[in-house]
Amino acid sequence: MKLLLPLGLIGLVSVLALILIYIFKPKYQDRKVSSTYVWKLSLQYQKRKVPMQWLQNSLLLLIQILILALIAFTMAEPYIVLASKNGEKIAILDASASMMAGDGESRFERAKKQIASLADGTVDADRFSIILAADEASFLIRRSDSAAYIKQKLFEAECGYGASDLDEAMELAEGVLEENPSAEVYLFTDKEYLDSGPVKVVDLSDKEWNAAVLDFRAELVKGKYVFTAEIASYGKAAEIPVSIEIDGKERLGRLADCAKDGTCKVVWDSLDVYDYTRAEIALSAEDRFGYDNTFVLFNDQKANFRVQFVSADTGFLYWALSSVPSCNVTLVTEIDKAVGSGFDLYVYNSVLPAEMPQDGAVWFVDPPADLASVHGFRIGGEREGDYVLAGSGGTSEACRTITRGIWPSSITLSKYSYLTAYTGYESVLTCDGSPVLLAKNENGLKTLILAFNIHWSNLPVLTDFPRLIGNMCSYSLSPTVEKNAYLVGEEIGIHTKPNVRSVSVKGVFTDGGESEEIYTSFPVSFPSSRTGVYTVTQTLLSGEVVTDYFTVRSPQAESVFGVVETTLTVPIVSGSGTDASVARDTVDIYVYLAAALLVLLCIEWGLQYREQ
Amino acid sequence: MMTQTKVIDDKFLSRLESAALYMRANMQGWFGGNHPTRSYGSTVEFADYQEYALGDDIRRIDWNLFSRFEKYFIKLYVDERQMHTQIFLDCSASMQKPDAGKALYAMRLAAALGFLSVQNMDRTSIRLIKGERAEDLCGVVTGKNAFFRGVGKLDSLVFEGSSDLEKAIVNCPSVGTNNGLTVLISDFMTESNWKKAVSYLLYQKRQVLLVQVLSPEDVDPFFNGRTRLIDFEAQDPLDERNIKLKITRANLKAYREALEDFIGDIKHFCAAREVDFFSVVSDEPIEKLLFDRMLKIGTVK
Repeated sequence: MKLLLPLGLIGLVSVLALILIYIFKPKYQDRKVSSTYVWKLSLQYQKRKVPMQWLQNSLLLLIQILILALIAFTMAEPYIVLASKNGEKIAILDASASMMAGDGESRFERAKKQIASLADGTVDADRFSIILAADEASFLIRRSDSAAYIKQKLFEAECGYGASDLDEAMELAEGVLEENPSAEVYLFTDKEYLDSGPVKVVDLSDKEWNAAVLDFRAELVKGKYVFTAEIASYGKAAEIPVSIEIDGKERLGRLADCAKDGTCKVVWDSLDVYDYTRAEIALSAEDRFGYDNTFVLFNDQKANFRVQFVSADTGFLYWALSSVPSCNVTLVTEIDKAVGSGFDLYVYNSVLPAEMPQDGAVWFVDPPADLASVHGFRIGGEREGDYVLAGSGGTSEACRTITRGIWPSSITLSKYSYLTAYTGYESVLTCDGSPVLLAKNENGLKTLILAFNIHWSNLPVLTDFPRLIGNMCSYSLSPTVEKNAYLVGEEIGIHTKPNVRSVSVKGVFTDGGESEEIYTSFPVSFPSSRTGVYTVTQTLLSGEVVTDYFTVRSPQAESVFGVVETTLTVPIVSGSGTDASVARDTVDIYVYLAAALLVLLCIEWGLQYREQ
Repeated sequence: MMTQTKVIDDKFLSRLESAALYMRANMQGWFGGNHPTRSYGSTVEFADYQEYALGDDIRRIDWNLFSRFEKYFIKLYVDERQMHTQIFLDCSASMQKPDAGKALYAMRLAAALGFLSVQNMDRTSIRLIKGERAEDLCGVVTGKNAFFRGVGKLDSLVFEGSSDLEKAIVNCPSVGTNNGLTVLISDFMTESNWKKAVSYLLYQKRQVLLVQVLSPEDVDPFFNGRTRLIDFEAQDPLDERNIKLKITRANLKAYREALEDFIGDIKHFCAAREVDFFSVVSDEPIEKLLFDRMLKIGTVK
């Protein structure tokens, strides 16, 4: 038996305190009797008839000492280290995506059967642990001796779609090994290890063939997209037909001629694709692992932000905005023709709208004094002179995003409008102490004020100008998802638009299943646990629906079969310290301690009652 | 005569009028009384026949026997003498504490037995055992008046110190001879060898009656826990008679067993020597002892 918290034994000091209490207990009560003659005779009787009288007299004290010792012992969190008879076993089950490979019966299923068989031969005389090594490792079973329970848990275990964290699994195994250093560690995986140390590796790979799309990308070459796929064939050399579909239209496929365990590139450079939203390739191969036979690509360069630029004429700002790849700018020269909804960004250059748009970000550039108060700020007037901009020194998201890579001191102004009131706005850039670039984020509705005309500054001739505009766009126009492709296990943050009512994330999985999650509270964070194509649908308060896509794939390494690793991280038994993050099966001992405590308390109560 | 003391009163005495102490064995005595003796006297109660001898009173010849046996026989009659009742009262502190009931019971019993004696025209003396001496309370009294005067002194009797029953009785100058009853009233909770004193009295051919008076607390103590038992006869707190005990049920059980055996030992001792013995608890009515228990065995008739 060991103690998880030896400091709990400090409680034994209370035993000393109890003895002191007994020593310094109130004196004997004086009772006068006519004669002690018979009492003395009775002592002889007691000595003669009760040989263990000393024990009986001290029984109460002994019981109380036992109670205190038991409480102190319980505080020390004792646990029993079970002795090994036939050999305790720890099975680490690799739950990475590649374990789903197989012909009919997957590697994962075969591993579960072998573990069940191993458990049958172990639990009659010893304990058995199973650690499920998915993208996060966890105990499926910890030191159980019930074969039925082990099999039930094994039956419930599911393989993951990502990589396996074997290092964490070995750390968990260390926790068990510290309790029983003689336990044997088995690793059920599909990889071969040249040096596995004390860990017994059970390689479940069966030289299966796997044809995989390792990578698929599109490049814009001379205005046309060229698609390139990296195909691999593991286990045998093969000529693999590859089909391609762009925006739902099937194009001419190719044949990938791959050597055994080699890769080959397949290029589509004559498809005359000038623009696309979704491109998908698929392998026509009867391999044993189908999760990597397709690859869906979404065009992240496609302009998907709609910008309404309201200005009497085009200028540097208009052209700078138009050059931002993700922005599709609509010029409106008359304020009366400007609309208040349907755009992601509304830019008002030298004009102000009567009402604030509610479904997108807003820039007020060189705003006129009238109507300014409607939008929460007030302009005192114009100042002329030679000014140099300066950063406000703020560390907020707005300051960091907008001034990234910008040298404010390189920007000069000859005239600007000074603001006398700007409640809720945060100063980003200042001119002569007065804020000239301000930002506000009110429930996701982002507003920027640029209190000067671009033409009054040297910005158009600075390289910082397109960078500043890009930064302002990055701040104002957050994409729904940061990228279009994620790996299993990544946490996907979904940036919702202002005034969104609900967000739906619908997944179509690689293995055919579907799921849909509806979110009504924001921000939304989505765990990517299964491979597939996901559709994010935002429904705005206005009823408008905005749709975005992303894919979730298994790590490329999961497609690589027949890998021979050199070394395996093996668990180390340090002999000190314990893994407190896992619940010990020896917690059951508390039940017995509590029962013993209860019995002792009852005895103590009885003794007290008898004495009184 | 009105008698009103805390020890004895008229109401109590009136109940004793009809009783008397009985002398079980034939005795000797100087004066005539109501108790038969082994010698022959001149009472009207026939005792035996004896062949006539020269000098005998011819008036006692039984002529009926002469006609039958043609020999002269004379009638002999019982001789009755006066009894001397001597009462020894243990006056140690243990008799009065922790409550006065035990002492009062002992005094009332001594007074009652003394009254029974004088009422039967016997002589009575009460001796108070204090330390190693037996002090005479009122001398030898024969009449009620003298008795009441003597008994009145019991009201101011103080029970204190310890007593040595053996030395007090053995050294008593006049324990009497074969002429009466000696009563010893005590709780007998003493280291003194009182058995030797009883043997001495028996050697003096006294009829002996022992009465052990116990308080309810002596019979059934109700202490518990860590207790220092202080003996009333102890001289100081460090006296070896004081003991410290952690009194438990086991202690109390042992005490009761010890007390039972202690009383049993006295009984056994007395039974072997034809000595009457009574053990009483002071909360019992004294009448129960006199008119029930003593009457049954014939000490009182």
